[in-house]
Amino acid sequence: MSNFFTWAFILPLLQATIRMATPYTLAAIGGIYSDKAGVSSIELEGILLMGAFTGFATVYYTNSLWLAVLVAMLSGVLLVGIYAFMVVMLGCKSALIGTAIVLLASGLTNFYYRSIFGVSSEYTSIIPFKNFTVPILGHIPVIGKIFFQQNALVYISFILVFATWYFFEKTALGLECRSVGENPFAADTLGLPVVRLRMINVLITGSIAAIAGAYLSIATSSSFVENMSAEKGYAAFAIIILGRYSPIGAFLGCLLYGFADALQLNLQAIGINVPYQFMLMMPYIFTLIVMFIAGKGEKPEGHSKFFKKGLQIT
Amino acid sequence: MKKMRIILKKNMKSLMLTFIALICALLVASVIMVLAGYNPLQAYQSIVTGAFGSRNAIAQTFLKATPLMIIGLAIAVAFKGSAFNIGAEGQFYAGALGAALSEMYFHETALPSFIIIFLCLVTAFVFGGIWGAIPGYLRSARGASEVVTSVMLTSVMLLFVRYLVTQGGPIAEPRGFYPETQEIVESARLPYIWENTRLHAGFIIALFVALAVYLLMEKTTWGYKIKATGLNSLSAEYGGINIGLVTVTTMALSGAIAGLAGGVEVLGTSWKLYMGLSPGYGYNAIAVALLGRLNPVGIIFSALLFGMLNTGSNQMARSIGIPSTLAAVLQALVLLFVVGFSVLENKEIILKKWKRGGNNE
Repeated sequence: MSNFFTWAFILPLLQATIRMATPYTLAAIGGIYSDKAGVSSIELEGILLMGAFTGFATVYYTNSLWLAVLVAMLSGVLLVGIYAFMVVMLGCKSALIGTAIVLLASGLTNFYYRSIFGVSSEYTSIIPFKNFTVPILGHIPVIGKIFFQQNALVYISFILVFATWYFFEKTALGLECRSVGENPFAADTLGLPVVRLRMINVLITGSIAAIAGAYLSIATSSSFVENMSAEKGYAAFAIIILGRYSPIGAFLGCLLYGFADALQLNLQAIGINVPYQFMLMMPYIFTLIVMFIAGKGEKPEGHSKFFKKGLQIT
Repeated sequence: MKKMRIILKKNMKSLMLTFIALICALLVASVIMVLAGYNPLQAYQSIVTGAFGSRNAIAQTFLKATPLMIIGLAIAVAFKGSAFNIGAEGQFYAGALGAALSEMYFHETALPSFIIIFLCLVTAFVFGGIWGAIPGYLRSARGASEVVTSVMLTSVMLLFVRYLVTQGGPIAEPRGFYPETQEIVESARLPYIWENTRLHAGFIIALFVALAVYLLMEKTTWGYKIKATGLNSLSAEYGGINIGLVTVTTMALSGAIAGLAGGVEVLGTSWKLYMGLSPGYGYNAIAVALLGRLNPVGIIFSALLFGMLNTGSNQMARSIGIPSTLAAVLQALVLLFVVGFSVLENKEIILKKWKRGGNNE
């Protein structure tokens, strides 16, 4: 037991926590944009998969990691565009369309992956993002090692957490987006373009969540595996509720997930004798507990309320 | 007479729209194939011959349609009650596990075949029901999204089954060579219903389930409560219906039916439990249920269509090398188009609901 509490165990564990938390963070921060505007982010899982595949394929063909991030974002926007159109403009049920989007992403990525790379047991791999130490910050003892000796996408996720918080709390446009989510009809009376704001927010969700997907295939690993997002998108949906729809709250929730994932890896590494299937179950059981505690949370008032010009609630 | 004509007209309209949705899905899938460098016409032709080209192929189509039909009915029950059971895959495995465990218990006994089969299927039904009731409970007690919880429970069940059947695992076959359970005894197997093919009595069971679901939804108070809750939970509550209880029982029933499909699969098709027993039936069946417009008769036909798609696409992958996951793409597209068109079709009803302040969660 003694080796649990040594720096040699704890430091890498905390470093891994940040690394493992990042895909959740990016997905949850992305999801917050649509949730705040009153559109459910139940489709996140599909965007993650799409981003993971297009990001990976782009690096494979061009060897450019940053181009891959851009392409992943674009593919996320395209995919979520279908969702946005059908839910925000047509008023379809988000649970159904979200599920369809997840199935579509899963089918499409598997189909194209097999078409391009074939069905072999050997994974094609690329050279992923490397860790680099941030000047000055990276040399702070302990904290530097944990937070600032990571890969570039991790830093982007930090910036996005802060920027998203700033956007929704401190800017007029962010306030407008929130009011669209709280009460679309009142927002309309004030002259806000409700449908347009919702659409844009959902598209932003697609672009950010797709980075989370790309992170999986070109930052923490070097290959694409079918259905590799492993329900992280659904977990992000739960984290947003747990974090009370606030970027900071969601980030803390993601750290919890990252810690659970990192702990699972490290326990396996030091040979704790639990069948690995139970280890793998942990994040899912964790989400169930989170859903039990958070319930439906404090949704924006107008969450999932359909809005259409001229529609009056009687 | 006039009423009849209106009903007929309405059904014709929805049938037409379903048909158009299918065509749209096929067209979009064609574009996807062309982008990957395949010939869509060749692909569709290969799917049809793969599904109907021989006696065995036809039997295979019906065999694949069986679990899709049962799970599709399970999902229809839940969706009618506005409980979005996306975790049928997990409930299917829960049922398969139930049937396998129950068979192990009766492995050595000399009970008559139909009793063993009956008991195994009852266990499957119960196991699936429990796995479905949990998201129902979380929904009614805590307001937690059943979409997310049922998906998580699916992952948990899949890992649990993988642990149980892994080589040398608690219920794996005793030699320890393969990650699967021992083959079930002959007396626990469902009888064949078509000579020289593998089509078994599970298909008949599926038709019975369709009949039972129809009777339940149309002729009983329980079914009425489920539908009332699904249409408008607020007015159902004013009408004295216990929404929480209805949600839990609806999800439990839905899970139980999906579990039954798992039991039928083990007793009829695979004769053992292993990972990969379902190539995603639980998800495909969502498309089956919606394409069948949540109507038992519609689901029988849409399950056959998807059974054909699954069988044919496997054949297509083997003969001309187009990945069989094309079937998954097609199913997702069908889902998108069917849901999209049904909103256009039911504009007035939905508009009314929105005016009452309903949400589109």
